Amino acid sequence: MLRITVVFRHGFEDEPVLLRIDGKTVMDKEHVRTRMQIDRADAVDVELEKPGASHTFGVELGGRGRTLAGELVLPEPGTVFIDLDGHGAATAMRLSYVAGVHGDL
Amino acid sequence: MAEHILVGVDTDLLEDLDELTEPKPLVDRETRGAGAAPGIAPLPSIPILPVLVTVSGRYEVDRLISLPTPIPVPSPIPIPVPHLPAGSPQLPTVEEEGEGAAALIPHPLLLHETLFLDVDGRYPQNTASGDIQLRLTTSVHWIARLRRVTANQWHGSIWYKDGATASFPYTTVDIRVNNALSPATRTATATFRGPGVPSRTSTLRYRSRAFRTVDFEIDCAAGATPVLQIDTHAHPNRPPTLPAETLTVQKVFERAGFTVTTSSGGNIVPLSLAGANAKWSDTEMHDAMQVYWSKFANKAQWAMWVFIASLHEQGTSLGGIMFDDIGPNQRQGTAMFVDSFIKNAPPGDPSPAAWAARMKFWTTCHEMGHCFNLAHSWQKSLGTPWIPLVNEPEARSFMNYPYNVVGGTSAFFGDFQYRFSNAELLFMRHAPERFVEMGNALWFDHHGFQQAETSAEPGLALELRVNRPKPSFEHLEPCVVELKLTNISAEPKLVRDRILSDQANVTLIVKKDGQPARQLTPYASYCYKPHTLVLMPGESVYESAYVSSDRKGWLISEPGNYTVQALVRIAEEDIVSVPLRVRVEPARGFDQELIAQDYFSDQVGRVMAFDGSNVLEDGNKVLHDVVERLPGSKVALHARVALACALAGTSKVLEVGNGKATARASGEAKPKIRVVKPSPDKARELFDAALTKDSNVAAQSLGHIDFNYYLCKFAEWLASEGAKTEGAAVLDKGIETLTKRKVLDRVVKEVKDRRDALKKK
Repeated sequence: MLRITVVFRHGFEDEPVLLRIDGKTVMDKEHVRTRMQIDRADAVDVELEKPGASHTFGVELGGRGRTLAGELVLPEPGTVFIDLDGHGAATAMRLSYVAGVHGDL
Repeated sequence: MAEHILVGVDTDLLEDLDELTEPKPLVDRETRGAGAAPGIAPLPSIPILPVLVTVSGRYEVDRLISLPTPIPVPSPIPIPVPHLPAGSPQLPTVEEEGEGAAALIPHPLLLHETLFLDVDGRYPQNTASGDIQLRLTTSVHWIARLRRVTANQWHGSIWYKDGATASFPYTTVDIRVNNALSPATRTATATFRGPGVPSRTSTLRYRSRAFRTVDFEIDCAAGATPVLQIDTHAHPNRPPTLPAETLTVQKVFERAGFTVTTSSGGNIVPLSLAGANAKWSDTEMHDAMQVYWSKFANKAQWAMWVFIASLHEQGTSLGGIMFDDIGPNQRQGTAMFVDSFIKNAPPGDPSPAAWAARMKFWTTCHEMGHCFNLAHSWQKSLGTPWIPLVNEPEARSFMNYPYNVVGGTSAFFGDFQYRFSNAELLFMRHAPERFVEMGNALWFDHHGFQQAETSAEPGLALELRVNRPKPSFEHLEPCVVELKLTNISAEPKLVRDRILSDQANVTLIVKKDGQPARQLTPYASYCYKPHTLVLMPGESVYESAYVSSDRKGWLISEPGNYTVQALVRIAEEDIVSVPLRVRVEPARGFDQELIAQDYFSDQVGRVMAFDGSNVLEDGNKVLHDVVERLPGSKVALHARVALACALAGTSKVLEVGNGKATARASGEAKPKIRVVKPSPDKARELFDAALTKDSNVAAQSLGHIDFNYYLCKFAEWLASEGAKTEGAAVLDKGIETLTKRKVLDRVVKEVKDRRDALKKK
């Protein structure tokens, strides 16, 4: 098993967010908003099978009518960051990964 | 005896000594802990060595004033005149031009004045600031950067004002501390000066080494243990010069300039409030705060609730959060999570227990810093700082993330002195109270401002003004302000011509009360060939600025109060204007409300900013509606000018795709230039109605600079149309108006010269 933390970081505007990893829903929340005092919007801890494999991240932004997807290879435990750029139909998603523990304060 | 103030001594010893000798207030205004009570005589002064004396801290005076009309007093009411114990020094005073003698006033009231002097002790910022209650309902806050003149005397320029600034026209302050050796009798005399106004002198009594008092209440969730003090040498990775001591959270904030009190606290908050998962959501913590915080109130107060718990619902990756960022009274509650990632020292750390304790202590101070409205070190420029801020990504501050600096956590703590940065201390100690006080300004609104690069002896002064008796604008009326840059030195100054027109040098900020501040981003940038201008002593340059809208939208639209402030950068120095308070009146009637629905559009903003358009048809249509439905309004005056400018001359329009498509969307379509013929009769009618029908109102609403500009443009255009006599008559009208409005003789003469030249054409 591979333990990762998915951090929803910048660009969330108090909106519903649904996250699927490899097609499985791991988070479904209303009112997700980026907060400057913790430099993030939300986070969820996830355990995945197959370390080193490629995983698909699908983010559904109900308020924007957008579903965005990306793939990452996750070799070891760490943190996946999801950042949004733009608004409405022009929203784009950035996925990034750092190994090891990441925290916010 | 000579008084000496030296730096470089152990300021903690000073703190202890100052506490022993701190004077009892004449009128107790705050809770000062058990045993303090009004009327208790000051403790006997303890002789101390001159080298240990610091004079920084809070000074206060209450000023007696009379009411304009006598107040009926139904029964005897004690008048709060301070009682002086025998042998006390003379009551602090205020001398101000036009003030009556306080002793003769039959119904006196006390107006409060505070001075925060910050020149020695822990982390001095060489700054003074103050609050002056000018009348019963108005006050001003000022900040000055200081330089030492003599041992007990400082001088500085006032670079920031907030509040009733029109009643406080001073630009410099001189501060002298008297009886510096004895806190019980210490006073400070502040003399404010400004160009063309009598000086104002206040003498204030030393009250406290701290600038303000703040209360902390710390409660824990069941099973969570806080770390509220540490041994600074417990972990081997530290600065070599870091003193060994037991440092408490309270001490950290005392060194930031506060008297810290702690109220009850120690409550154990049951885990049942966190729900089934025993992890805390923001809502659950807010609920707990309302129940367990003894000082909870929906109001601003210098008090916060600190909650220590195991984990946030976001899990181990969240070490703490200032959770109170919803609703009108924010920044009162903050939390730290002891079982989050901060408890795990990196593998191989030589002292993992000390590492974790330090991280928990650090995190507690960090989250409490957010309650003071401090942003993260790398986010200083984000949000709505009042003065543009610079990020401090490498700061060794409680507000930085240790693992974000170059070299990571070990590099951070290897150079960390357990303090806030200077910019943060400046904000906490000297910003207007409402920006910092918990429950007051919203989170991230006005968060920490940075001192602009002002000089202690500025040679130039920047003024923002409007050419009307009161800075009040009709609903929909475009807001045009005038910038005035004056050489206030005794020497000629070299500045660039058009210095006030160049957006690279000028920053304009607009803020509606209760909403974030915004920096004006004009629709267009202009590139001028620079020329140097000699500004003689007392001379000024002027420019007008349209601040209602910009390319990001409307900055001034809804009725209410706004603040406008300008900054101009000249030769590595920032000249900051005093904030201008502007009021937008409510809509008058149905038509104004109806038109407002279409008026605040991007096209209307652009048409107004560019003096008309032959392309933006929707914007023009709205302005025609304004002229038709609101003919006597000020906005109609501006609309007529914009429409007239577009109609007066032949203009060219670039058309792409038959005018039906934008350049980008048209693809292969061949662009062409269409010539738009003028409509001179209509233009003349509109110009006449705007500029000459009631020229006094036009000069007031357009501002003197723009009124003069449009008038000359109209006159020259009339002459070009063969109506030379009428053009000269327009300028005659302008000369008469500008003279009546006491515009500079130089400006009036320029218009006269234009008129004479027009006649000779």
